[in-house]
Amino acid sequence: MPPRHASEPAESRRLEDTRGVTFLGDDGALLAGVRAGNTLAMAALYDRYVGDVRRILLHTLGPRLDLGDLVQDVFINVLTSVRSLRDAGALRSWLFQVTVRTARKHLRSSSRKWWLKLWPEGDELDTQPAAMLEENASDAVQATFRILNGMDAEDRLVFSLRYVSGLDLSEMAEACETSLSTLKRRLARAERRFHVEAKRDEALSGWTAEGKT
Amino acid sequence: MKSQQSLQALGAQLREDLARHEDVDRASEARIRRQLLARVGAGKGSGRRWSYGLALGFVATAAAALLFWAAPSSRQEPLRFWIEERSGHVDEWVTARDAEQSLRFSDGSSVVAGPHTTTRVMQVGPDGAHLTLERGHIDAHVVHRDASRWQVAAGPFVVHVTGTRFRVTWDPQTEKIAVKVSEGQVEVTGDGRPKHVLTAGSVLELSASAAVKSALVLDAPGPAAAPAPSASPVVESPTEASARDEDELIRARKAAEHKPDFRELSLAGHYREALQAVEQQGFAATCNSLGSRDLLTLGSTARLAGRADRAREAYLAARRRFPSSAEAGISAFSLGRLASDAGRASDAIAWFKRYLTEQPGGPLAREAAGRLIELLRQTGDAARAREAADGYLKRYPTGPHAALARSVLAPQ
Repeated sequence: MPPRHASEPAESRRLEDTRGVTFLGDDGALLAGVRAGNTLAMAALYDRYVGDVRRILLHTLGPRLDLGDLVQDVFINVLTSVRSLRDAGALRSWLFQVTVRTARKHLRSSSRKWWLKLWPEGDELDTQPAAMLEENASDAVQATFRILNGMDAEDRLVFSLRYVSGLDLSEMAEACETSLSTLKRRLARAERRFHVEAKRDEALSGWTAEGKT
Repeated sequence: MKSQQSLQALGAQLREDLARHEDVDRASEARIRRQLLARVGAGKGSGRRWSYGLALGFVATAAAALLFWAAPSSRQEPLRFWIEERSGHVDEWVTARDAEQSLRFSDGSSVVAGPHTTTRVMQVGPDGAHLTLERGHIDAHVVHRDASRWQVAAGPFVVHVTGTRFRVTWDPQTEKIAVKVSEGQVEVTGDGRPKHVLTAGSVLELSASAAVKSALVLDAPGPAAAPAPSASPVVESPTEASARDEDELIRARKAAEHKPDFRELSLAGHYREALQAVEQQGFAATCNSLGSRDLLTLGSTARLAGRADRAREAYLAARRRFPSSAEAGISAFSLGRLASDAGRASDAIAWFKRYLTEQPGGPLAREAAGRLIELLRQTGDAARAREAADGYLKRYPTGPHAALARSVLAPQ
């Protein structure tokens, strides 16, 4: 057991001690425990879904250095509002919705910084999203997210969920809280945009329709 | 089709590449998990305390009662209450015929008598009220306070409440009571039975008739009323286990019928409808009765519905009513965001600073610190912008506002 800081709250230590505990209940049991305010059930919910949440954020936003903070944002939202969720069978899809909402919010808040470009130094912000990517990301990953950074948040999300996460259309519609027709329209637009940009990019030109299939 | 295939092939490659980034630093992962759960756990209501034993609660209640009766001069004024828009009086019958009747109490608690319900406020004290349910059902939301003492009597049964949201249904013909708890916990006593402790998501149905001493409806397989999920021995405390054994009649079930409230509508992304539902109930009254987390939900619902004014009201209510809670801090941050969106930079700066003062290690501290840089720069306060940028880089050298902070600090 690693040493702990003396001022660390007892509750924190207790939660850490539950690491490695296997929760055997289904989502219904998990949800009932969380709703009842059982901290250990909250820990179990986190452990069960943190991988999925991190993966969706990774696929939609890229390998960012602040991914852990965004994962935390998702679970703060989930754990503070999960009591309102009635159907335990919908827990997973609802969690995906919260994750996609968090990603969307992040993308939109980034794009809202446009006014900073009015400042002379604001040009440096153009490089911020790419600079945020971890340096050891592959060329394909870097090039893909360079293109995605230029897309509208909704288009980017549907493209990422479809091709990077590999979700099917109905899962995506649920996660994005949108209709299937709207989703298809956005996806088609994102595909067109991506193809145009990818052909110009050395790292991705081999992946266009004329290349690898 | 061919282009989609090529994108799928690229996607497979990307997944493989990105999988390398899924391996996280286990130490920092454990730290994040611990911070998150301690934070959320610290903000929750009575559920966690319950597992520490009813004995503590008994001692505290006895001590409070002793203090209350031993020092008459320190007694507080009893709660006031209103039936719809007029003042209510103790012993007054409240009969809801075709439409429901609302009772609001001065501590923010509320009781809604459903159609064809008769209830009566028997006693009102500074810490709560005693009601009798003659027939029908009431939906109650009791604001949790340190010394809350509320009771709802129905036939031979008594529901004891300290702070929660629940429904009691009583049918005098069949002498059946049903108690459904949606938040917090209640205790049900009476009719010579052992005490039943109900937590969120539980429904208890009991009958006082001699022929059928108890009745239970189980709509769906689910966990018992004890808060720990039954399938996991490791998350079940001895207290919880004994409570479950004691209370064989309790089962969690989905509510067979319920009117979606604003939380559900908000969850489903129907923000305008959610806000409309609250407006129909009375926005100000709702702000005075909701718990701290629900107020945050209401604030974000209103914001997403395009009603910044209502969002502000909800966040201010959270700060006014729960000043020392984590939600008060989150409200400060949200108020800063609202002010920023409305172009009120100086207000936004004040709110973000307040958040950082109140919760310097809070989950939104990094974002608040970054937004401060943006706003200070926007208002032309170069000196404070540099100060904020310097502090940001020291604390979050790789944060999302690091590039901006560096540009603020760069020599002109």
